[in-house]
Amino acid sequence: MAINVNDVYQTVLLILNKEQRGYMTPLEFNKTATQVQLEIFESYFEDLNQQLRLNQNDSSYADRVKHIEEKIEIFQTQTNVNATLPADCHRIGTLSYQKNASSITHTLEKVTVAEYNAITTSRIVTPSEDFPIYYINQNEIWTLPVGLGLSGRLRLNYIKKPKDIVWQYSVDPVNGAYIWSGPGTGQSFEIDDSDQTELVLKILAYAGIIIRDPQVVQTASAMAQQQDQNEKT
Amino acid sequence: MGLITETNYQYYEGKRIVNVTSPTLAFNFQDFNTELVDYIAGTEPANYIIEYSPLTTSPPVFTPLLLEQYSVDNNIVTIYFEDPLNPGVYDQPVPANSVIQCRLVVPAKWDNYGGYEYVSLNDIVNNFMIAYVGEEKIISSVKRTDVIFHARRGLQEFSYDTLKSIKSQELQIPPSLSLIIPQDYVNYVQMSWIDALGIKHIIYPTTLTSNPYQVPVQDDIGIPVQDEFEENIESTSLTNERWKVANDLNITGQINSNILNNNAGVYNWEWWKAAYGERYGLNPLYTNENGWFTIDEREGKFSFSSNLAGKLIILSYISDGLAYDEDMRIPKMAEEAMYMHIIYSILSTRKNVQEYIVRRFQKEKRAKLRNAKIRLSNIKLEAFTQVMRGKSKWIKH
Repeated sequence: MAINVNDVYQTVLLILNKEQRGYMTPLEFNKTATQVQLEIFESYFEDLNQQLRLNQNDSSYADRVKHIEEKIEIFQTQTNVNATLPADCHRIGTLSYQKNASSITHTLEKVTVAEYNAITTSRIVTPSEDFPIYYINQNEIWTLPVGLGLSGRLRLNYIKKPKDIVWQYSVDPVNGAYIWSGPGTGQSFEIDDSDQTELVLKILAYAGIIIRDPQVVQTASAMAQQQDQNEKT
Repeated sequence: MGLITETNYQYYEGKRIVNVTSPTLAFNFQDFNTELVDYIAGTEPANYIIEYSPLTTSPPVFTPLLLEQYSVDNNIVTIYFEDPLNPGVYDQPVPANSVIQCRLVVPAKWDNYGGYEYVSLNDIVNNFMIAYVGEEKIISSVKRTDVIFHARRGLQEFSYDTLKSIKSQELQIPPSLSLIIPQDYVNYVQMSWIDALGIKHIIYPTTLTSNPYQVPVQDDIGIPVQDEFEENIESTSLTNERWKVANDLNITGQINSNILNNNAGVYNWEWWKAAYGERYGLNPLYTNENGWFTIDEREGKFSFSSNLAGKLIILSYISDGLAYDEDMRIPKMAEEAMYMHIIYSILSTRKNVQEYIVRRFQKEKRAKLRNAKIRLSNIKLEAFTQVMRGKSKWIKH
């Protein structure tokens, strides 16, 4: 579930104004919010790696691995590709090949260029349509057997990059206030709504830097850290 | 879901019939175990034939379609009928109220019979990746290429001493007394000639002669002679020539009239033949009339002794299981042994794996391989009992 951009902005402004500390303009908010969303998004992968090394439980709501995977699934995308990676591709998941619509799907194994060169010299592991391989060179997909992408049956499963946050507004001609353009405008947060608290705290920390208030920075950082600790231990 | 997808009719008859109720182009035959192989222009299809019958005849009378009328991709056959308005142009679907039959040719049916005994190497690799690799498993991640390598190497090793030897060729020995080694040959199991009753007689390898690997031409003082490229000039082997014309009776010691009358052999008792009586015994190693063979590594051929000229032989040999696609399968009796081979091979070559884990899978691998060998040796109690009954016979000398 996405997080409404206006809710976050208003919450941030509320906390800042409540303390009579300063104001965060929409432009500052948009830049800061984009930065924070990317930070939280990137932390999913590290958190998942960390949790996979720990013993997990099988409960419905307390399985951390499942929970993080659900957060990542929001950004999971599938598309047919020819030989070029999609522009919004952030992390490659699996690349699969289907000889035709009714045949079974073969997953291509990703290799480095060095491995690709080594594999092509060995006849015992020569890639086939049953066990194809690929490597990426400057956003181009190179497969072996050659030309699998030309068939139009290469399917890429990848994690897309979150879009930049936009709190869309207009300026009140009377008093110069920023007026939100309303639901459906701009770009809301795409990350999971369970991260809303962390999102607000991290934006507040950046806001504290912007308005040069160390107390806001320290308080927000401490709270965010405490929450982070709670989620991981 | 069961593993068998073919119906009994498909398996035993090698056929599948489809009733066409509306004009249709594509026919799905994916429930066949056999992969239908498309024809090459101008030749018969490799393993299947498409036949057609109108429903007006009962039972249907099938006639094969022209090769240009159909093609296959992944067991989906696309069939085109002739356009009645444009004779010679095949672009119409199969008409309604007709029957289409896909029929496997006889060798393809043979290949399919008994196929349930085996599991393909592709399935082994895929199953291994599913069941043995992943989080919370001993192998958390592995490159599929590594699994393919170990699976194929495993199949090679199993082919040498665990799996049944099923490769054999029936051949006639030509006057040249040599036969080319089969294309997928790795080692021989047995060579035998076949008598008029079809019974095998084992031909043994011999060390009586050998096949020189190099036969350089020498000058008067014994130094090899070179050509204009400074390479030694090769000649034909005199050893081979002599062996080809050798009379095996002179080796086995078997007596016939020729030896008695014309040869200075040990059985010639005429007084001027000094060799008479000087042969004190026969060496059982050489006293059989089944002939001998040697392997000529230089020419890549089997060479036979002269008494085998024109004989029918059966050459049983082993391959490594990787020569042809259809070879890349292993008996289900050895499936678990293959998984253990792969897992051990991966763990033993990976760093930071505790030695006790490697040892555990080494033991597992040995145990499963032993099981596979026992299973595949096919020892049945009744057969064993039958052999043991011969024990009560007197051994006569």
